[in-house]
Amino acid sequence: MFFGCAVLLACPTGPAFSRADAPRPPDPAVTAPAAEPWEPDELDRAAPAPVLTVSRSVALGMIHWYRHDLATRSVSRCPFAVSCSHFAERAIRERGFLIGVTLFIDRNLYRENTAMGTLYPIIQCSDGVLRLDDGFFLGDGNP
Amino acid sequence: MMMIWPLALLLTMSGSGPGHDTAGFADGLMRQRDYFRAITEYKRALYEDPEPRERSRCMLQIARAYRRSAHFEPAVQYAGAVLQSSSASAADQQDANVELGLTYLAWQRAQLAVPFLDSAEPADSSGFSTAALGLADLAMHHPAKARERFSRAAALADSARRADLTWAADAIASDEAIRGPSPATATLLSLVLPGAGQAYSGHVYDGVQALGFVATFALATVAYYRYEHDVTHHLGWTFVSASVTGMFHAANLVGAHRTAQYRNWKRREDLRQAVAERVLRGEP
Repeated sequence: MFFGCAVLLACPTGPAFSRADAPRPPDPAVTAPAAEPWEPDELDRAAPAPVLTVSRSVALGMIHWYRHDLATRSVSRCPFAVSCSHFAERAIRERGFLIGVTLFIDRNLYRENTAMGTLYPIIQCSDGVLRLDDGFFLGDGNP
Repeated sequence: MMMIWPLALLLTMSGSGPGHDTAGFADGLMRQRDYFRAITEYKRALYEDPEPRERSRCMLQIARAYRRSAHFEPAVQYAGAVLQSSSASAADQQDANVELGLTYLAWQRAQLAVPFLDSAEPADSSGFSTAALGLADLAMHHPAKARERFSRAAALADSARRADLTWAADAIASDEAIRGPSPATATLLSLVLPGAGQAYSGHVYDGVQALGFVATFALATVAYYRYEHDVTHHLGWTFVSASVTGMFHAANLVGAHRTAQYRNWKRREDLRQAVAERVLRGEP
């Protein structure tokens, strides 16, 4: 009983860190990838983090809800290498809510049809399945 | 006479140590395109500590095997290590420059390939570095420069490769004459008639679906307007329907613009791949 009370009293204080164990702010010199001598200095290493607005956050929350609660009860049948929910997530995250939604409508309702197999290159995904690659529409490979 | 045989045996064995045997076996695996096992054997040869010349060759072969199996980062590391090595000969450094250029080209980082190929070009009498620079120009959308480089490389190349390089220069010239769909025209066409821009770019089914969706929502908006205007005198659902129609029409415009850009990119990409296949066939 005494042990239980001691544990309860100790709980709000949280786990005890020694000074050496305490989390430290990341050291930029350590976390940044080291430039190798054969790579030029101007190589772009880090993309700026996108700003999350309310509309973007709501849309991304809905996409996550779909992906975790609905998509798991269905089979994977998207013919594209980047699935529709991932396409929507990337489009909204990178281009904002309005442009992202228009790109998603274009992909999901206009471009996904019987002719798509002849229009997009086929690539092998990490799970070994051959799927269509329309990454250009998200900016991949776009000059 | 009895003393000659052991001497001859010793002389035969002195030319090939265990490192040579392993590297020779790895060369055979490379010829069979068994790249992963070739990498293991070349690393085994390195472990057996060969002479500096053989060491550089093994590292370059490892880089080549990684590149051909699409593992570009280790390929850059191995070729880069040869380039930085003080014991590497001028010929090895020349090969390392070409290897780094080819790796960055295969990795679709053409701008990074250029400095290495530029370094290799003056000492390359076969014209292969010049042709590889032409590939980099093509990847960076400088077709005129690429064509000029292929023509220059064809003049230096042997007869077997000359045909491929001349074909590449001609293919680029033919492609330059083609006018692909204009994104601005496609957008304008889709603004007037939804889906017309996609059809103009060759994506007819996309256009039909875009027309179907936008027309359906537009008709629904008209129907809502008539009903709410005449019966309820409150246009709430009309505004909702008009907003949805606007969103679908905007998607149609964005899609038309992007589809025209995609067609042009795809044509260039197909050309680049075909040219790369022909040009790299003559890789030394």
